[in-house]
Amino acid sequence: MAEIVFDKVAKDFGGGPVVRDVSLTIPEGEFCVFVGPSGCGKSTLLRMVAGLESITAGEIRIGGKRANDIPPAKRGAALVFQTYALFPHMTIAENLGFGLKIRGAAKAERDAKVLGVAKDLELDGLLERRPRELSGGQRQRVAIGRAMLRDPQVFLFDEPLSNLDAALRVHTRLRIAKLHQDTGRSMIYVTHDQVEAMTLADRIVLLNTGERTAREGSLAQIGTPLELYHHPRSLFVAGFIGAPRMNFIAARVVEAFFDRMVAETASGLRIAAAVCADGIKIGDPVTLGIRPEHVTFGDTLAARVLNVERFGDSSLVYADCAEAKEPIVARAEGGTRLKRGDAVSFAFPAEHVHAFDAQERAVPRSVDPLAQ
Amino acid sequence: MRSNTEAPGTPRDWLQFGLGAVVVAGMCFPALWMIYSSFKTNREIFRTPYALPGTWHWENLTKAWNEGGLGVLYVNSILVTAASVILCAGFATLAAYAFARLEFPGRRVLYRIFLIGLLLPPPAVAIALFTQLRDMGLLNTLWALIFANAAWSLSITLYLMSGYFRTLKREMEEAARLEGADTFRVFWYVILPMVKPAIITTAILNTINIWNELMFALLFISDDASRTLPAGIVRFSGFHSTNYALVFAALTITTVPIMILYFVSQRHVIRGLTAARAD
Amino acid sequence: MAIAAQNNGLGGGRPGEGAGIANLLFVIPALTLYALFVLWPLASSLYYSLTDWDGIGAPRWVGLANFTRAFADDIHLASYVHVTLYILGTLVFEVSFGLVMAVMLNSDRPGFALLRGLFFSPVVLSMSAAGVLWNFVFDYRTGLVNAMLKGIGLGDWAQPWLSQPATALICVMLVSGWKFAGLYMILFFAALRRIPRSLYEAATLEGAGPIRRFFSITLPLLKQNVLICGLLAVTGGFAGFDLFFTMTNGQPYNSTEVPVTWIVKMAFDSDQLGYGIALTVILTVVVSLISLLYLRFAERSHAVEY
Ligand SMILES: Nc1ncnc2c1ncn2[C@@H]1O[C@H](COP(=O)(O)OP(=O)(O)OP(=O)(O)O)[C@@H](O)[C@H]1O
Ligand SMILES: [Mg+2]
Repeated sequence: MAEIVFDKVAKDFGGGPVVRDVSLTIPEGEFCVFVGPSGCGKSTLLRMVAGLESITAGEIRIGGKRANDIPPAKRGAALVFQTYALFPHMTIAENLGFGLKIRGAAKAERDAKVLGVAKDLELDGLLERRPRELSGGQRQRVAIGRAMLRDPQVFLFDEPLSNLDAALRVHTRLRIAKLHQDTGRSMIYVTHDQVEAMTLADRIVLLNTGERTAREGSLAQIGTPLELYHHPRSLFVAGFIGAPRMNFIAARVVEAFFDRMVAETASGLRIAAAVCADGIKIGDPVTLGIRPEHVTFGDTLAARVLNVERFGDSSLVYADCAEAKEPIVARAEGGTRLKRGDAVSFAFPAEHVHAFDAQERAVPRSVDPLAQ
Repeated sequence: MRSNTEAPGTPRDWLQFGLGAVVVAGMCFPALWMIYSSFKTNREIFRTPYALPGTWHWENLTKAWNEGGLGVLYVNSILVTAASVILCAGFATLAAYAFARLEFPGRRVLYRIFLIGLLLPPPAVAIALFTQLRDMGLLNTLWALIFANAAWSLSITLYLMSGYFRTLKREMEEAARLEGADTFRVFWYVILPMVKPAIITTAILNTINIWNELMFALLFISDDASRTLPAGIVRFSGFHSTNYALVFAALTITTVPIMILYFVSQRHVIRGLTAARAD
Repeated sequence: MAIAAQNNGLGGGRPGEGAGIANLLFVIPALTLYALFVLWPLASSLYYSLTDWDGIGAPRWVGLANFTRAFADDIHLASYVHVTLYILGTLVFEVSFGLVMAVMLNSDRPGFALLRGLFFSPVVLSMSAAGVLWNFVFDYRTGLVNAMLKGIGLGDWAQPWLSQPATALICVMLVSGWKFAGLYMILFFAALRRIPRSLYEAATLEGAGPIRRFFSITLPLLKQNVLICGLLAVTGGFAGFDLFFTMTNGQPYNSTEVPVTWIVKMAFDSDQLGYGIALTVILTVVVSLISLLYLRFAERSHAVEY
């Protein structure tokens, strides 16, 4: 019922398109996360849904109705701002009850509803305080409470956790996930933190910036977190999703089959990848990619350890080699004995190797980790 | 140049303070002289101009108050100042909100037109305004001063207020809008409480300017009943040009309140002035 | 209008808000007041300045006659000379003095804030009160100045300060300085506070003394502020009236006549409103031209970033 449809949506502030060609359907009840580098237009898209920003071209439909010309308050969307946007001169109770008051609710009803939500969010002791007398986490909860009191069709969040410390972030993330389960409402959540994206999302929408937007539109890829992780559609997506970043090595195709490809680096090293390479010509340049967690210790690529980061449960090994400009990163077990200056040798299991053509498009993989 | 600690001063710091204090004392002396001379007799002022009064003649103040009709002048000044300041603050805040936040046809042009007033000196229209007020039947009424002063304070007030609006985050307004508040209610419930500091600052600046305004008051008012303090003082000192004690008493009565207002609200005055003019 | 499409972050262009005529309602009260009492008299001045009018009968069209008369009116021309001298005086007694005092009173030590507050206090006095007060200070028989001269044995130097052409204008300048130096002091002081202290510390480490630091750091960094304060002094000076009216009203022998005192005399004492209004038009043109030239000049020698 409250499905949200973006139909060829574009936005231009006067200096060229900021958002282009966004077509996307968010079904009722879905938790959809917009991610992308800074300045890619995440906030802009969200504000267009909320009605705070006009839509330059295309249309947004909320619950089947064209929303472009519906005023913000009538769209049934509640927005939680990154800076919370609490009214500094009102108490917490007044902040929470402001919308109800504007909508003409009686005082008794208002107070009851405010108290209910405040209890839910453990804010009931703070109702007479003003925003500046609250901690960041408390303010955040007030902002969420205000959104809850609107009982909206869709919740919109613009980087709601970016001003909180790490512990509170985890806590509030869980609270938002619970809010989603309890209400079953659609949510659009903007972040540039991929941990938030991966953990919260039913579906992730990854956005392009700059000239990539101009070339292929704003949408880099849409999919579940694991789809984006295992089947990135492009070099950009592969590099953006996953931390630490995927390792990339430039090479040239020497063998291409319908389910397998072998490529050779400038220094003559051969690496195989499980991809459907029947459309690829021998001699074409490709970029091979493999995630740190999939790099193993073997005998393919000799490198020298630059640095070892130890997390206890695992370690990250950074190593220099002739084949890649950036150090190769590999995840090793927590107790690894490797240290700076050691010689190591890596192996790249073919079923984990991705390949990207000269246009930075992914060559489809011939294995599907999601199928198991 | 600027001392960098709160530690006991070096000789240079003391020299700096001493020199500054001497200049400031020299500056303040005429005003102090005026205040204590207003308690002396004419003879004393003439014989020993510097000395403190032998006996403090408080009755000089009541005499000046009565003879100068200072009560009427005070009431008029208060009415004119209060009405102009409120009118200007209200209108300028509404307009500044629109210029800073809303779209409407002619926004840019109108803002420019308001800014012209920053460079125009009031004498530029004084004569024409006089004839216009006469034709409107407002001459010799307080309305003449209220409208003229409010209108001539609009430009600077609007300029300062829009500057302040621009420093405010828009999110609060957007949040209110999402909650269903229309433009007017956003203004009333969210904007107005948030811009209160700027309203107070500009209102204090305008109060000082309008309280002291002389030219309009001289030109537009010729009835004793509607005269304001600055014009009244000029007249009074003209009538009593030889009765020093009386004139000093009248001056003291009229200037001390505004000085107190200044010292109480110094922070606002200075903030307003520096925001207005420095860059 | 073109603005609607622009949406530069200043304004909405938001759904349901429209580029609304309704928003104009917020501006209309201010606009009405401003149009009635600022713009309209400004515009009607243009018309009346081309007429001969005593203020009572119907204005009679005389074309540019008022203006040709103005340029042959010796006192009027002289008033611009006086006001120019006066402005030069204010640049010294107000702006430069204010700058020096801003530097001298720039300190965080206790007591300096009080000195600044006191130094500023004449600014809030009314001009008329200041004028009346200083009339007594400069009075020939009982004034403070002459009494002081007598006190230190220089009784011969006593002067009728305000009633002789040689000294009257200077006295007005001094009083103007007394009244307004505090304003410029505060403006410069605020600007001084924005200069990072590290610059002075660096210069001190290089061995620069206080004078050197003033000329090679303070002054260059305050350039923009000096320019703006200069503009204030110039435009304010041309419109000067209150102090002249209360202290000398053009006397003696029109030696302190400035444009506005002369305008008021022409219009009200001589009932020549048409002519008086023509003089206000000239004043407006002069002030606007100077402001525009000045701003253009100030814009070219841009603000200093630090
Ligand atoms: N009101 C505006 N006027 C002009 N340009 C704007 C405006 N708002 C945003 N932009 C531009 O649009 C682009 C997208 O901005 P947006 O705020 O949507 O980015 P974002 O993806 O939310 O970035 P971040 O992660 O830094 O918040 C930016 O390049 C920004 O400069
Ligand atoms: Mg953003």
